[in-house]
Amino acid sequence: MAEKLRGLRRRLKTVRNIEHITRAMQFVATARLQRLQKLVTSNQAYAHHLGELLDRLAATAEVSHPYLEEREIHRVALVVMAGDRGLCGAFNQQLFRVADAALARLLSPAVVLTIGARAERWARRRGLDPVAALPPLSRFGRHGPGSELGPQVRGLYDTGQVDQVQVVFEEFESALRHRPVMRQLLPLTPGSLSPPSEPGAYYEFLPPAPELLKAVLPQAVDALLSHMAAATHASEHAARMTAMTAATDNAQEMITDLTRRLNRARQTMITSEIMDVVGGANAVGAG
Amino acid sequence: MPRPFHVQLVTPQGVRYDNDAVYLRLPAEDGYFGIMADHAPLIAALVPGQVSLHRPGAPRPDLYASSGGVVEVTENQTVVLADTLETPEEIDEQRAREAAERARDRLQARTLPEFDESRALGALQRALVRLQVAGKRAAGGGL
Repeated sequence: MAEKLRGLRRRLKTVRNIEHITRAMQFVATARLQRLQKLVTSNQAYAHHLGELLDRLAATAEVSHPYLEEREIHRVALVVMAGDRGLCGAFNQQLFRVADAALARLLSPAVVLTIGARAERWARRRGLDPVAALPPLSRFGRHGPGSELGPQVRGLYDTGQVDQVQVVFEEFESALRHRPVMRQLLPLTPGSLSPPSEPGAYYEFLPPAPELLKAVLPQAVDALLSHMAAATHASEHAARMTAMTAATDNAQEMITDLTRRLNRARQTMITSEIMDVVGGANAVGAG
Repeated sequence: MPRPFHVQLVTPQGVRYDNDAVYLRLPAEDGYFGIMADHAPLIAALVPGQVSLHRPGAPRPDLYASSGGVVEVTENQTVVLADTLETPEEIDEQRAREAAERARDRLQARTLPEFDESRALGALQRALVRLQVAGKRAAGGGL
């Protein structure tokens, strides 16, 4: 009996400790999420305007740029963004599932670029050697990985090593709504940034349209990558927050249950001890 | 008083300005150009430089150091998309000075195997613009 009590006490202590940890992680994730959410929201205004601008450029300018033209696809570059730590539920697995589905559809092996150690490990497990394995999302400042990842991705596309660039990332809507998706980055398809808008007025271009596109499109690609990275990073913390909230709730449930069992066991023990004493006294009295 | 028109200054870090202005001066490849109400539709690439925005009735323009971007002008609606926009107060002069020195050193040395002239030039240009804008604050602002 005493043995059982001790066991229950030990388990209760363990669960309490775990609850402390998960609760702390929940708070950390919540704080980080709030900061990143602001970044994603402010980013959205920029991405939205940029998308509209590109659509109008593509619609009005009778010029061509490789970033706006589909070409025959021989090889595809796949950029995979993922979180760098665990304890965020199925967040990373779901992203990799989308990436796996993409790989399965490709005719030739993809050229893979990864952000974060987990994404890199995923690629290696699939027998792919990432041409670029970037540090985790948290290592990039508020400007995001666009200025680092962008030139690499554009280089692959510019030199014809790949004919299309797809990005696997997590689309962020709110703390409770985010989902893994794959989007085409290059060539920039109309509406890849925002819903297509009606062709605009006749614009004056400064410098003339071909040079203008050359100046603006690479920037747009980099900005887009940073935007996707920020959304993924925010989603990772949202996923961790959800997972840790659930873990804390479960721990609390277990604590309630264990406390109840512990009290019952203790009472049972006391009762049986009293019975022993009373039984013993009666026996002595009767004798 | 010139007629006001609507201006939005947008960066990936957020919307910096979303209100009326009477005059907007922007840096393009061939030099600075101005936008007033009823400007013809325009899409222009911006280079690192000063963005000055004259609010209606304000004695002095608001100054920003911009690292380049693009502007779109449509019927009295102007949207500036810039990589960064910093007010004189936000600029870290010390850091900008260091960045300018580093870029100058890189341009002079040209030894590194991965030396990238356009990148070094860009860095130098951005740092100089920051210093210029930050200096305007010390001098009391104004054009």
